[in-house]
Amino acid sequence: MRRDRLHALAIVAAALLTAACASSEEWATWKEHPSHFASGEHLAFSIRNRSGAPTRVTREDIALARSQGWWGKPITVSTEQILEK
Amino acid sequence: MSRAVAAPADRALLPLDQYTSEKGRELGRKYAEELRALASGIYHCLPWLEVTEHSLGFYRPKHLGGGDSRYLSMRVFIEQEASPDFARLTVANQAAAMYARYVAALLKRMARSQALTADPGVEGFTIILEWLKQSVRAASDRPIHETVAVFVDKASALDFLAGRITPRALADRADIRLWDGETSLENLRLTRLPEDDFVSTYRMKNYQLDPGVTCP
Repeated sequence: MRRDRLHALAIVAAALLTAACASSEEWATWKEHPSHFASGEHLAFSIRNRSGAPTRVTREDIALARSQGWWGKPITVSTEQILEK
Repeated sequence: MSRAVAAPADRALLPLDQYTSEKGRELGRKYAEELRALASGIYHCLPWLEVTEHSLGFYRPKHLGGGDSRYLSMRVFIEQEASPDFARLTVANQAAAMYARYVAALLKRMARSQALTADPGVEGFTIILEWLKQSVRAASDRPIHETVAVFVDKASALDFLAGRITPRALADRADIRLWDGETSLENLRLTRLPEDDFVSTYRMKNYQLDPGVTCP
């Protein structure tokens, strides 16, 4: 997990070093790589495929991977600032 | 549906005893099954999304001021890998991308029940999307989320769902608000709205639905 985090940080750092205003080309590039939007796929595989054998991923696997990958309480706007119960 | 399958849906719903008005509570009680089905559908069929605990219910948007206008509301965390392409977009363009990818798809799911959409007590829809901000930070730092809240009145939502207005027109009519962490940014006017069919076309590799679950 620690190695995964370092890997993710390295990717983010590289992204910031090359950051610029979005062009249509960049927008299109992002749209063409939807795998960026399903880290559950990656995380679940990291849990179940350690033996190297291809396998199926269940929703429970994804929930487990997500809980293990959680980085702590986020800084974010609270729902109470947006909505009233 | 098994208990294990139903449990995440129950976690998503705003408990009835937390509503602050009888109108909200009555809507929550009346459409509990529809809300559970909505939460369960997202849990199983869009597994990279996480409906925030107790975020699914008939909330009142704060910015609407007086009255007890109840919008069917849901807050969703979008899990994604760090992406250089996404990181290059401005916060506003990231929000626009998330809007294009998820708002119409989620709105369709939220409005699936004809009884619910026809209920005069339901005056609109709120969709709150949040994702992890991509930034360099120390391991000890707390993560920061970027958040976009989209408020759509019911007439606009139904016009869109019936094909009477375009996605562009829906975005123009919607009230769209943006936050970077806890900091409120200016309201978002979408200057571009790319077509995005990710939700309807993406299939997670080797993902196996739980027994008895089907996805449209």
